[in-house]
Amino acid sequence: MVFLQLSCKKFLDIDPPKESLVGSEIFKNDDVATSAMTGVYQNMIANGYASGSTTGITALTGFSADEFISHNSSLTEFYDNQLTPLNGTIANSLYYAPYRHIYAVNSILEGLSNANSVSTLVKAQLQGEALFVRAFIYFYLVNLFGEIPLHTTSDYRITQIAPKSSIANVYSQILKDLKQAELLLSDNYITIERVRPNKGAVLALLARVYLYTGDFVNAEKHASQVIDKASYKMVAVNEVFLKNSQEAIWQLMPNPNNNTSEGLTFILAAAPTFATLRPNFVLNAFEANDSRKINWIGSYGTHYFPFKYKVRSSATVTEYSMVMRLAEQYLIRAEARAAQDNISGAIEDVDVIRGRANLPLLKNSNPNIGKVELSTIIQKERRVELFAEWGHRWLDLKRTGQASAVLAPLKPQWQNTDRFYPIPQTEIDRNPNVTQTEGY
Amino acid sequence: MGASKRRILKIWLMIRLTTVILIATLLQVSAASLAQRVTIDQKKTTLAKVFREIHRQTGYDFLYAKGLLDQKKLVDIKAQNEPLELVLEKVLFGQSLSYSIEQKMIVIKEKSIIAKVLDYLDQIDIRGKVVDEQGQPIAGATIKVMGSSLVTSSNEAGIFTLKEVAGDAILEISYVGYTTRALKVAKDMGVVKMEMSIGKLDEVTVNAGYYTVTERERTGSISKVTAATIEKQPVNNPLMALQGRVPGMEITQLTGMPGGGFKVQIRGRNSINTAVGNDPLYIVDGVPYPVNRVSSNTSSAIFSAAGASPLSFINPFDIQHIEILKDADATAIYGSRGANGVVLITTKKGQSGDAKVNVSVNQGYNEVGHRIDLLNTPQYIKMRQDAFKNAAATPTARDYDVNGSWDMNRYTDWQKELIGGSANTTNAMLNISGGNQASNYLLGANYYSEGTVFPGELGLDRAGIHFGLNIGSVDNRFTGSFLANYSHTKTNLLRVDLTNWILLPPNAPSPYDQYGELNWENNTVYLNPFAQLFLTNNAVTDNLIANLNLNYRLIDKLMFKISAGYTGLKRAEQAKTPLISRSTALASTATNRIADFSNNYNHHLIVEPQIAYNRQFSFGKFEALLGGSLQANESEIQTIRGTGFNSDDLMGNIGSAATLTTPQISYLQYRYNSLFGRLNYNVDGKYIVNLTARRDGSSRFGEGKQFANFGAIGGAWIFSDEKIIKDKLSFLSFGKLRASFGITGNDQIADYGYLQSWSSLGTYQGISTLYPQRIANPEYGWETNKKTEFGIQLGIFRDTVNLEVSHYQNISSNQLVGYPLPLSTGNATIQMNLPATVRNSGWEVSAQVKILDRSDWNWLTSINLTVPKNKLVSYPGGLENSPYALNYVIGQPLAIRKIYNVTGVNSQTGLYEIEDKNGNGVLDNDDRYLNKFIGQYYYGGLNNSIQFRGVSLDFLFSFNKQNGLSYMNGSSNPGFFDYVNPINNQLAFVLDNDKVQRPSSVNAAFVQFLNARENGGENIVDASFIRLKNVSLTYDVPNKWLSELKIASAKISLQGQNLYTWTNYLGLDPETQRMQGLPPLRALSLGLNLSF
Repeated sequence: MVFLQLSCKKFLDIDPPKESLVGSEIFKNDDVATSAMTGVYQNMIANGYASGSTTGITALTGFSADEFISHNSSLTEFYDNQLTPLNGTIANSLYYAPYRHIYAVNSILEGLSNANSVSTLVKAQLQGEALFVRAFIYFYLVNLFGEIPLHTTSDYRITQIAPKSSIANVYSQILKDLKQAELLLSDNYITIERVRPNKGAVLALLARVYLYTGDFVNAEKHASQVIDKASYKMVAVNEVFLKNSQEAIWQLMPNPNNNTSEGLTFILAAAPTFATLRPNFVLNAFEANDSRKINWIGSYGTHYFPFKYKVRSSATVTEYSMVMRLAEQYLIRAEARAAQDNISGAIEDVDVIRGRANLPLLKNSNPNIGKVELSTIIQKERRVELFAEWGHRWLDLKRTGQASAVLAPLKPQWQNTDRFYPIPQTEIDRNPNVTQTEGY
Repeated sequence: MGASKRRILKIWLMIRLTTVILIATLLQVSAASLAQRVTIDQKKTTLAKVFREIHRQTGYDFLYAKGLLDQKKLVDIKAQNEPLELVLEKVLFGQSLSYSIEQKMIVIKEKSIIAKVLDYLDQIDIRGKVVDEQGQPIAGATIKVMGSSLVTSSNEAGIFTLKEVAGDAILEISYVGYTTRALKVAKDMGVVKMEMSIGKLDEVTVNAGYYTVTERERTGSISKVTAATIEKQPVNNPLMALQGRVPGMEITQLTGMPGGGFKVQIRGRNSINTAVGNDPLYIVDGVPYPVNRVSSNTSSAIFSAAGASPLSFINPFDIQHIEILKDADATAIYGSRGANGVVLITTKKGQSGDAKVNVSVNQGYNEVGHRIDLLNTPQYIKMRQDAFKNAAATPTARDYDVNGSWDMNRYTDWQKELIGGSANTTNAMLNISGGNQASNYLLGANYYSEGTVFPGELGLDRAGIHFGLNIGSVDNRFTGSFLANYSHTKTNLLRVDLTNWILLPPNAPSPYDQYGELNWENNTVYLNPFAQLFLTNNAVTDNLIANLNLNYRLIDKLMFKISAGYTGLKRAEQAKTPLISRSTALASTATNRIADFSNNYNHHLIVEPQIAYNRQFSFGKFEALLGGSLQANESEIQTIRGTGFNSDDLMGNIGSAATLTTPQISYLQYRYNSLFGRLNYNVDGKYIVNLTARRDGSSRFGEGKQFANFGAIGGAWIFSDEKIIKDKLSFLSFGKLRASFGITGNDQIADYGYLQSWSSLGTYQGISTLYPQRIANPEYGWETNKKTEFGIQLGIFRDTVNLEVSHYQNISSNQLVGYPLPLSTGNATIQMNLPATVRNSGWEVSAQVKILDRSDWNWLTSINLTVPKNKLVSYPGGLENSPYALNYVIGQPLAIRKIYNVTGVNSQTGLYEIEDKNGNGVLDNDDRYLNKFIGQYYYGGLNNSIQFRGVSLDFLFSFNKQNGLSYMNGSSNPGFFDYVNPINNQLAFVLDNDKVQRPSSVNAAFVQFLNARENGGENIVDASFIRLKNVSLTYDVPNKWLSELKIASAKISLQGQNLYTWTNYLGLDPETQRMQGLPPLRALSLGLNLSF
């Protein structure tokens, strides 16, 4: 009997490790499968591009654009737009970290497609979330880097030799994922908080993607679908960034017993060592009496800082990190309507934003405004409404073709190719099929 | 044929028988009275020649018919001072001749037909017992009927039986290590006493794991260390006892702490990836024994990075012998785990006879053998003041040592205070052994305790019991053995090694104030070394090794065996950081109270059925073995950390912690199944071929990669048995050439590595989350190691000089490395096999010389030398793009550092000057263009054993020619002061030394110092040393004094370990090469051993 065991493979079947779970164990029940998805959010907020901290998209693109002044020599490459492929922050926080999450969601999607023991409802929810997160991450990758490797599998044998995809291909994958997610997710948030994406988040991102790709009909349509939902409301300026704010479409929940990294990173309690707002922005971008200037900008001596999040550090958690919110949807629809020559519709939307900021409404002050002037106002409203939030300014400058015009005067070493960040050198070294972005 | 004829035959037979008995009786009488003895050694000789020689020696004449001897066979005859009759029996055996002795005449006659028939009818069944000089049974002695194929061996009780042996046959009884005896057969052979053949190195048996071979006939490279050597050393770990004694085995003691870690490498490092283990496979009594992973991370600081050594839980004195298997021939039968060599530990077994009691007690002490010459207070203060002068700066408020906060005249010798103590050692043992012919037992109990050189009551206590039972059935078909070894070890140590703080400034304040309380000197002391005594780290380890062996002889030549074994190691640790240990200068709250509770275990189960077939043919000896192995290993390490205790006193109770976390948790299962076999063919004891093979399956690898085959071929030619050598090179008493080639594997990688794993790193919405930790690669397999070896063994002048020289070459390939992946894959590296190769080659020499070999004077000198070479041969795919780009260079050993060129000390700035090779204005990795080797050029040992009557003296020098890390590795730049942990004193050698950076207080000086130290290789120095490793002086009390006391034997011994070291090394110890770890201690011990 013993001899029979000797060359038997079955004897070598061992129990899985206890301190970690192997891939095949994840998708055997609803709770564990769910914790794999929430692990991505937990990881996003912990550090790197989505964390809102010093290595987040908000801060880094703020230096690249015209939002922040750098007080840290290690950020000079961002601030002067003199990045090199050897920059470690690019490699770790803006490239490797998002791709790690791509790997995670691809693994989840693959695991769910094979799993039989995850209930249908949970499976649909998780697939929807994973597809949404993949689209969200690729949206930022394609906007930060331009052409990038597009992976929809976790198999390293394929991904390690995949070449870059064109920007158009990346966008079509994003749309494909979002449309599928739209069918899978429901209008309700799966938990009582707004920290896991629902259908509203999918529609909101769809609206943004259509706007970026110039499909104004669809941009308007999807923004409307979000705006029309009863669960989203514009709230008072000082309540926007509170946890579970009615304006929130998707928030990330900070680490336990912490408020947001944005608060910790930007609110000055001492002389600045990282970032402050450019005085030019603070002093000139806002109209008089804009309540956003009053409420969302703080100062420490002569330094200004973003004060959207009010809590620098406290064990009582009152704020979550805002990823997507309703105000942006109004601005998307305004821009889309203006582009389709629906001036009055656009004015209506802009006025929602202006009204909340305590500014005169366009419908009263300038009802016959021309399309060009209106577009300028929409872009200005985007700038002051969405500053220091998820790189909106940097992305807007680029997509509207204003980057060089705005940045060249501020930054002596600016070149038009600086619109895209370089692909990290380690990526180029290790994947012979990936080429460097133009200009690097 | 009628009834009458039959009756006649019967009468004939009776007459004949009576005559035979009569003659035999007469011969007995004559033999007794004459007592003629003959010594003869001739091969393939004519009878006539043999008779002439016997005539020459005895004066007896031979009488035989002319032509009688012409047709007779040539004979082989070997006799050492044996009775004439016996020699004649041997000579005439199978020759159809008979002899008779009349007066001084030997008459040789042709046997009659009837006599020949009678010989046949005369067959008898015989039985006897083989014992050694003390009357203890010898198991496994070979009993052979000369001139026939009848052979058997004695059982555990020494008993042998043979059926149907010719009545006049001669038995040859042999056992390795004993002189072979020849006896006439008898129904009852009685007790056959064997005599030890002293100095017969070629008759020692060697355990090769699944089989044993003689030292003479072994084809593989195997070194052996026996209890006699181990017992001469006052050590707490068997590994210590092997240091300097085994060629090809590099053993580095990493710390002098009792129970601390070792680094062991047999024939060099094979793996590029440092995460792949290079430890040998340890097998204790047939059961694999854990290499590491028995202590938690909590203990790493005190026991070194290797953790507590699992072998420290085995009493070295319970060990009978240790074999070290090195080449392919010896290790391939261990297949996938043989690549790094195999260490076989066999514990003591019982001996039959009347109950024998052995008691031994050793009492001794350990101390730090060598202190370093550090700056005294005036020198230190001057260095610090120079540092400020050179930096054009003045002491800051934090420079407590020179800003007036601390007394600048105070002097403390911190080496004396912290590691200057002496640690008492006690080692006591009691063994009882005895048994009858078939079965015997050994019962032992032992206790060991060792203190530390630190202040305070710290140390290690180990109590153990050892049990050995051998059983056998009377017919010798069934034998069995059971061995069990249990130990309970308690260590009361610290979380930290106080050696850390010998570099405190010599004017640092007194550790205690005038009231005897810990002194924090007005919050200027952040680290008081005596406060570290409160950082207790206590562990309790239970270790059980048990092994059952059952053998059944199915038919004469076929043996079925099964062995089953278990090793269980259980360890509980508790480490505390109470607030009292923290400086008053630090803000401390309840959260700074940390208590770590660890529970670890490691179980190993093994079952190994085997079939052995041994057959002696007329043209050679054939041995075959087929076996299987099933193994299951399970281990867990779990550390639970409690913080937020309200009081230091509550820290022993985990329930009092406010917060619990798990800093370390790992659970591993590991299974293994194998088939192995061996074929050995031995022609005339001269030409030997040994084939071994193993098929291994391991759970450490993914689907399709779990199984692999390994094997080796070894051969030996004992050329000294060739006639031409005997004739022409008669000074050569023994000569053997051996060679082997084979493939072994290494599977010392993390378990579960082939699976994608998800770990919990945090919570989201209060619920724990999972995140992918490791990318799945089901495709990696074993590292393979191709080993080639050539060796020669010589015995010269009757084995007065024995020499063995081996050359080995091990090529390790299919390296498991972290292969770099593009970042976009979501993982930076993946564990993969790469056809990169590492070559280890080298020479091993060992020699023994009998300088004196007399009855009351013996002097044996042994020397061994190893010259290892290690080289990274190739790295396909580009080393420069790999994670190892900064670690290795193709064509260089693995143990190198890529370093800057430090050109010296700039006389202007006083800083190290480093060449900017690529001239880009900054020091970067491209400037590290030099390679510096850290490792051993050669090493070995020189041992002398001198015996004069009852006194024996043994001393061993070990030597190492090597590069290593100097004191600088644990030191800061001269003049630097870090108030938080001011271990900033310097060696006196730095004073006015223009090779050393000038004292300076500025940060730039510290940065440049680090540059030169870490990447400039300034910390790599010649760390060669010669150490008087062991001295043992033993006195055997003469029997005449003991007999009245009813004591069988008594020995008094004085033993010393690490007594003196000759070295130019700058630092605490050239072996540990650490400033933060206790060096190997000097041990002295006095012992008494009594047998009843």
